[in-house]
Parts: sequence; structure tokens; C-alpha cells
Amino acid sequence: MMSKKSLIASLLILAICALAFMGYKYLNPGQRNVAAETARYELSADELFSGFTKEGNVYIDQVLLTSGNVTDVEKNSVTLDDKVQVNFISTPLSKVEKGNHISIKGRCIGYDDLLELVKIDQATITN
Amino acid sequence: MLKSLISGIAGCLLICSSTLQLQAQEKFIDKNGIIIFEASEEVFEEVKAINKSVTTIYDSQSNKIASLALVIGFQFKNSLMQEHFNENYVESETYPKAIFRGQLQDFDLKELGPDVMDVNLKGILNFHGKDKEITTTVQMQRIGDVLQMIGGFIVTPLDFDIKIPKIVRNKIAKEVQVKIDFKLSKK
Repeated sequence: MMSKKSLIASLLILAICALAFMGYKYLNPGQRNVAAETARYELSADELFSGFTKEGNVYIDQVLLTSGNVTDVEKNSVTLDDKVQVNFISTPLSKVEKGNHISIKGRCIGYDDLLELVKIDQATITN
Repeated sequence: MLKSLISGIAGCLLICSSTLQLQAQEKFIDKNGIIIFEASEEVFEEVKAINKSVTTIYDSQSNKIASLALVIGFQFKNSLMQEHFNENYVESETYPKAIFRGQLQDFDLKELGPDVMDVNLKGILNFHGKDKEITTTVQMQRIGDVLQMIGGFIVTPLDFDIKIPKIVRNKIAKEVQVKIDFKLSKK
């Protein structure tokens, strides 16, 4: 039988540990997991592209769902409708070919004016 | 008269189109270039980020290089650090791009093969609204239609007018190591 004192002491230690863990988690939240986040927007590659000229940068750093026809496949990235470049987290790209229609979830990082493409990173295929 | 005019125009068109074609063949592009920067201090948490979707275009006729990194594309291991970097330090909402424009010095692509060659690169890096001249040496090699370019340089937050608050000043190195790794394919 544990005495009341040692029970309080062990509870206190537990509480301190929990606080320390929370503090650690607060300061070290780890890497952002885009695949697990809920998408803020859902729109076609075409709409995303034209949205960049009209609505400015509302999409930047947002997780979104988009879809389009694959116009280029390269390493771990594909281009949709010649307008949006998507970089995937991992490289299971053997299934994706030019002409495929795919849907993806990823984080929009902005507009690249050298290539005139909207760029998305940390993407996963959703269809 | 008419005949010679037509043949003259046709000749001009032919020359124009062939030079256009020639120019189009001289471009090398990487859409997935890698830039890593690190400003870690010993003992303290690593201050390091990687961007894997950097665009670089190289024109072998003029030896000019343009490279663009979207600042928000730099990924840190610690998402809180990433947030601070974007919001408080580099203000990526106001300055979303880092752009380098430069030229390879005394270089002829024809001389480049599978053997690694040191090439001098000079240009201007625009970041956080400020220009900084960069002079560095990159290692280049050519395998088929792919040009590999690896290199690095050092910058300081001060170069780009980036203010580091006092409380974290000893956790962030005064010098920031930047590494580049591009694989440019012929377009």
C-alpha cells in the first residue's frame, strides 16, 4: 500500500514529465506533415494558375487539392497542364505517364516566373 | 524580280528559323534543383533547410545562368523554426523569391565532358529585397545531355539586411553556408 505522500510525489513527477514533454513538443514540433493535413482549397491546375494572377498569393503555404493532365514527368515531379509543377514526397512515379489525369494533395510554394509555373511540393497522389 | 524577292524572303526565313532552333537547343533546365543552407552553431539545434524545387536555366551560348528558389520552399526539420524563418527573418510573404543571375567565366561547354571541371561563376543574388554579388567556383561535368553543377558559397544575414534577434543570436552562425546541386537537362 502506497502512502499518501509517495502517491502525491509520484503524481507530481508524472505531471512534471508531462509538462516537460509538452514543452519539448512545443519547441520541437518536428517536420510539417502535409499529407496528413486537411486541404484548404480544391481546384483544377488551370484555376490555380489563373488564380495566381487574380488573387495574388492566397494559396502560398496552403495545403490544396488539385488535378490535371500530366504533361511532363521528371525525377520525382510532374507537370500538370503545363501550368503547375508538382514535387512528390516520395518517388512512386512509375505508374504516372504523360497524358494521365491525376489528382494530388500538396503545399503550394508560389509562382516561378522563370518557367511560368505554379509550384507545389510535399505532394501525394490522391486518385 | 518577284522570284528573287520570294527566294530572298524564303532565305531570310530559313536563316531565322535555323538560328531560332539553334538557340532553343542551347538551353539546359533543371526544375528540381537542390539548395541547402546551414547556419548551425555547435551544441545548439541544427539550423538547416533544404529546397528541392529550385529552377535553374543555363544558356550555353551566353554562359548565362538564372536560378530561382521560392523561399517558402525551404524545409526545416523543425516546423516551428520554418515558421520563424519565414515570418520573422526573411519575410517570405513580402519577398517570396530568391533569384540569382550570373555567368560562367571563361567557359566553353564544348570542352566539358564526364571529367569534373572547376568553373568560376559570378553573379548577383537577390534575396530579401537586397542584391549581393556572389563569386564562387562550381564543379561541373557533362554526362550525355545532362550537366551537373555542384558548388557553394558563404553569405551572412547582414548581406541581406536580415536582423537576428539578440536572444537567438548565439544559436545562429554569423556565416551561412549555401550549397547548390543542379542537374540541368537539355531542352
